Amino acid sequence: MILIPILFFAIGIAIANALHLHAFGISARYIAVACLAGLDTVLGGIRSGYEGKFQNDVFVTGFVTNTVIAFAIAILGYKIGIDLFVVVALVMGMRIFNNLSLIRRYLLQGYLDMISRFKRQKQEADAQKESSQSGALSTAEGVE
Amino acid sequence: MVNPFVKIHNTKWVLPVSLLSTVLGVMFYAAWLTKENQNSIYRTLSPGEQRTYSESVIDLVKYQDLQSEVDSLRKKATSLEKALSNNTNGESALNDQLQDAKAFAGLTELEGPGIKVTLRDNPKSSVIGGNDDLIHDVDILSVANELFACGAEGISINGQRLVSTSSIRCAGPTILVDGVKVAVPFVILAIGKQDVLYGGFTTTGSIMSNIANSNPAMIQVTKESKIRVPAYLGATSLKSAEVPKVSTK
Repeated sequence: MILIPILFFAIGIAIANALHLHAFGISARYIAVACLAGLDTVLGGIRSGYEGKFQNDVFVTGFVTNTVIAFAIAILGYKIGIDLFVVVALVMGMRIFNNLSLIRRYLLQGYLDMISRFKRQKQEADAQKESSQSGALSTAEGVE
Repeated sequence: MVNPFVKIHNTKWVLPVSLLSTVLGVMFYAAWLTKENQNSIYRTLSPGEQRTYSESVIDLVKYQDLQSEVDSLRKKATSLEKALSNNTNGESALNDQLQDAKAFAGLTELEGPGIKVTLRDNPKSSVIGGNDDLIHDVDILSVANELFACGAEGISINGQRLVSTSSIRCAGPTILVDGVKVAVPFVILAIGKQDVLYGGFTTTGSIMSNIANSNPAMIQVTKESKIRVPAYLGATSLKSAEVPKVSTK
């Protein structure tokens, strides 16, 4: 499930590569900060999807406003001579780590659940086999 | 903790997240490349634009044609002056003076002992590629200045003769000497007293040790018993300046 957004991310890179989208010049730093904000929102979307709390409108508006605000803060910092993009990078970096750790826990828990489910199924299947075998034995004894 | 895998069959989040991660991919690509290109504004231009920019400085083929023409015409002028001066003593004295002035001004080829300085970019440049690993226009300029200070009588950089109006400046990946592109390796020929030139140029604390700081292979100096520097082939007519008729006292 989580592989689909990653695949689309690669597709996005391929599209940008095909269109030669790299003439941003001096705004590179602001785009990078906006990238961090976007990454955080996408990871947050994945996390809320796993939590079952995903809401489409919240996610899309979050993506747009986060990137725009990050971009604007970086430009504001440039204009007033304070490296505000560091602040954005710090906050977004913390949130990215937070989201990633939650996603990791959910994935891990899913994996453990899957294993325990397999074990249970196997046990049940074994128990069924045993019972059917014993049943067959008993019928055979009955015939004798 | 809530077990999310009970509700994971609800997959409505996958499509919007995927679409926006496509957008994110585009943004990352843009930021990535510009980060690499940040070092110089010149390099943010596409390769085609770079070529246009550096070649619009000069039309090379045309320039070479004109240069050879200038060369032949100047030689013809010299031979005519000599032919004229064969007639009388006064004219020959005048011609001698004229030829001396031309030699000093750099309008004739010069030959003599001297040194050869070869500058190249650091072959073992580090991964980061520091600023010190490249030969800049300033390096060429200071080497030429140092050579003149050590008593060089004629200097050429990759075949471009330095005269009183010469300029050396940076144009992206190449260096312009009098508006003509020269590139690595830079061979600087200087005619003068060999020992003085060599000794003066290689003293500790000189420009040379500055450049050789990152890698000694970047600058090599050899003594040459006989070198030739070409004549200056640029324009020589003065447009604004004129010799004052009344000399100031």
